[in-house]
Amino acid sequence: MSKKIHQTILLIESDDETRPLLQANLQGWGYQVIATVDEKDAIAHTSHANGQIDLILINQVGFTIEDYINVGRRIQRSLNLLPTPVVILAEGFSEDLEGRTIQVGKDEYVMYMEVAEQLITLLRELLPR
Amino acid sequence: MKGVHLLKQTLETLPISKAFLVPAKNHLLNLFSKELYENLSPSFKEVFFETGVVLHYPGETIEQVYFPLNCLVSVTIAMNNGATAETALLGKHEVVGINAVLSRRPATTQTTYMIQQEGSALKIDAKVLRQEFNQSQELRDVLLDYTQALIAQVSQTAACNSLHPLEQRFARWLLEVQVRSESNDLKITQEFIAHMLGVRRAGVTQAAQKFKERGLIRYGRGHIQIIDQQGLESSACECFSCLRKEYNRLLGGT
Repeated sequence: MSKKIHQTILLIESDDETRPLLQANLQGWGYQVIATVDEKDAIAHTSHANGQIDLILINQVGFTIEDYINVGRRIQRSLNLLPTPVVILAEGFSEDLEGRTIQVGKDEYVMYMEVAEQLITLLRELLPR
Repeated sequence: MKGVHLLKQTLETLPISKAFLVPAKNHLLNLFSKELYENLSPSFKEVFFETGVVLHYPGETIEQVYFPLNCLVSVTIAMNNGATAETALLGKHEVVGINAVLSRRPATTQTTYMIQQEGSALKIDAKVLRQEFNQSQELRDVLLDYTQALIAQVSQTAACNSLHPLEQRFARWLLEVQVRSESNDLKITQEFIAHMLGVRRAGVTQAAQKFKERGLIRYGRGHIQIIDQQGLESSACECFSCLRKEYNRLLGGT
């Protein structure tokens, strides 16, 4: 069995300006990225991935955190993934939450991102090399 | 006599705080002749604003005009869904509330004027400034040149927002703030920048990270420090230098 070189992150980001920036940074940090715009696109683009998704990263836009947790769960079920960490980047939060990451389920995290290093740190914790 | 004339001797006769015993830091006031400044100076009052103070809400009549000395003011438009974007940035090269001088009707706008960085400004009653505007060719020349510069800024921003990628706009915005605050250390949150650029917070955070990894900026909670000016200018779109040229053409060296 060949050793897996890159860990793969499934990125769901509907914003055309933010998606390429997130993708480029994730790739720069050594991850393989499947960049998609929504749940449907994510399932379509990863149906061939054979369970090779190590983490699902979703930017919260328009819907509640709970909605996005359910998106993560539906994607895992659709793709028959083993339990996979889901990280939701919260948008439009109050200052007291800034910089915090809250675990909301066994493998589900909500990040109130203040700086990008916060995301790097969490990814390295969840995806040890 | 043109140039910096707001000296201690003059100020001691003015109804403004003694803390303001330094040359005027507003570029437009520095363009006034001594005579024009002295005509207006009894009507000026120095005021200090904390970050976040709103000077004008959409639809309100503009009663006061402000010449920023070291504060920065964001002119923003909010949409019905709450999304906002900055349409102009005003600081020591600008005046806030020019509409009140130009219009014979009670002046208002659809925009919000909000203090982006705390600091002082010289406040003057809009009616007083309009009266002087009607009488003084010199004041008209300065304020109409400034109005052209402001139109240039708003036009450039409109084009920039629709044509240039977030990374370039972010670099340009940082440079515009730096020019007005005359500091490399900008007290600003990424959340605020996202509102000003009309983009998602995550987009600003990722763009800031790219700049940091390229050694252009450092950042931490509530501040961004520019450490490679040239590199940041190279990362910005043409709009920054284009607008600087237009300001210099209309208002002299800024």
